[in-house]
Amino acid sequence: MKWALAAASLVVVANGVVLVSARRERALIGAFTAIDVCAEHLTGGGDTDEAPALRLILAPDSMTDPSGLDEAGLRALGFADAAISAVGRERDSTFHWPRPRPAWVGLRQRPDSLAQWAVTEVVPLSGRLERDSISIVVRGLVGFRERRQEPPPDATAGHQHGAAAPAGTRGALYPAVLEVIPSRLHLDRGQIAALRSVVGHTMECGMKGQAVIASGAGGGIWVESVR
Amino acid sequence: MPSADQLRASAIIAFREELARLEAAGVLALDPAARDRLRAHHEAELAALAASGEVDLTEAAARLSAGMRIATLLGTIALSAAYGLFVSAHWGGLALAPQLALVIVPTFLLVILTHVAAVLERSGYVASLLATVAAIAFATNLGTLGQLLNLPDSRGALLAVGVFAMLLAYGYSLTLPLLVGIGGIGGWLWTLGAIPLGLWWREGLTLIEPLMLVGLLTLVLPAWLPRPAKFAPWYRGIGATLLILGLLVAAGNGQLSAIPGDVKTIEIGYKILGAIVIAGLVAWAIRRDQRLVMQIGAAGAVLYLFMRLVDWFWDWVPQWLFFLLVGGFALAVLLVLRRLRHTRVEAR
Repeated sequence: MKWALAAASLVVVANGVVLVSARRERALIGAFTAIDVCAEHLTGGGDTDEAPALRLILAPDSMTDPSGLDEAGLRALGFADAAISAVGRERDSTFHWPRPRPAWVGLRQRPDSLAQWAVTEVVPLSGRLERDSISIVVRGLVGFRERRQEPPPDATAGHQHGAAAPAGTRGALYPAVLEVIPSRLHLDRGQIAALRSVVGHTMECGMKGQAVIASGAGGGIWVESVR
Repeated sequence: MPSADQLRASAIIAFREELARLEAAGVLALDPAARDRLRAHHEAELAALAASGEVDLTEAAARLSAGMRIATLLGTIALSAAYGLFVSAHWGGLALAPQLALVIVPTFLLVILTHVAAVLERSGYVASLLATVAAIAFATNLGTLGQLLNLPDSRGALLAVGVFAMLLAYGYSLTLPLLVGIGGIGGWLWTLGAIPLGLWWREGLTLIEPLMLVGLLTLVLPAWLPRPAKFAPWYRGIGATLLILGLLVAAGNGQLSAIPGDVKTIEIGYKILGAIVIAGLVAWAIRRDQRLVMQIGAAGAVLYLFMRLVDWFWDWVPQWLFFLLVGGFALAVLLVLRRLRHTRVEAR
């Protein structure tokens, strides 16, 4: 019986640690950010098998110009000189895709395409990004991608070490935020119902509701309220 | 893999059959008193082994046991899928408290059921199934809790689930949860390689050296954790597989190495190290009579040789000649192993 008790105790401790740290985080709110929400942001809930959530969709790399991805920034993130010196050049046989590096990523909702978030700033996890009322801060992975010369780059491709151009074409290498963590924010059943009633069930961004995203002092992030 | 108890029972049964043959052939004749003493001793031994619930005393029982093992595995997969799908089907429509209850309570229930099953059903098949589903339920618990609170994914969940599975595996001597435990704790150790390189924990799973270290650790662990004896072959088998797999992959793709430097040099280094380590592993397994490790090592050696042959000859010789060379190497390996086996038989 002692082994069963030990296993049950471990379940209690693990859940307790997660819940208590989340509770502490939510007691120390760093900033509130009001955002527009449209149907394209929403996923799951209702009759689906998926948990209801608000997606953080990144804008194509060509439409963002984040600070912190210059030579000094990449070096601070831990990229090797060989990778940094390859930025802006064509990939050759000596280039090896560097492993993505974790970072704090500042995101701001694009005014012209509200479903998408533009990356505004990137700093190493050891640094700090200020939260404010117009942008949110999440963790993310920074890596390299290859930009095709023709036609314009497609930022939806690739979430691994980088997105290679199609076979036969080679393009310039550039640093980019490959992934944000978390990539979706949980919505409770009341929030998803309220937002669905405003934005409808289509996948278009015609109608919009609003949500307030809260950022904790320790990096936590959650949907505080919707309307 | 047969347990130590099963090996002992099989040895007794084989001894009895051989004794009967020798007596029938007139080679040996035990006096009735000695035969009765021997029979009584073996009956007592077999009864004690059978009481442990894990020993098959006949061929028919062994076949049934194999069926039970398959049923356990299928049942584990089906119950885990049922639980996961049930959670996802009802998750969205629940308030916070029922959501938490839905992911936390089943783990507790399954732990209690594992204990009850282990007490009531001594073979351990039902307990093994329930304990494994409990570990998967715990993983679902932590995963969904992280999703609910928008937490970044963490290697800590691997450790928690691994330790949980190990507690049930060692507490009730269950093999299937042991495998989950090795996967969880091994996976956690593997990801630790990301820390000194400043990578996100998941990227640690692309580093090959930590995988090889986990394999080495798993291989030698039975020396420190000898009990229960039936766990040792699993540790050694998984450890040898991970170690060899790591060496084979590193020799073919130096980019997966955490060692900074020229990729080609790293690959050459691992080719040399691979040859030494795989040969050493096979030699160690032969000396220690570790049949499973020897088989895994031999398979690794054949794979290693095949990969080197591809490296050396594929671009240089016609394809028919390449496969002739592979066939020649396979024959050479057979001859070496045959000679080794002959030497060992003579030594006995």
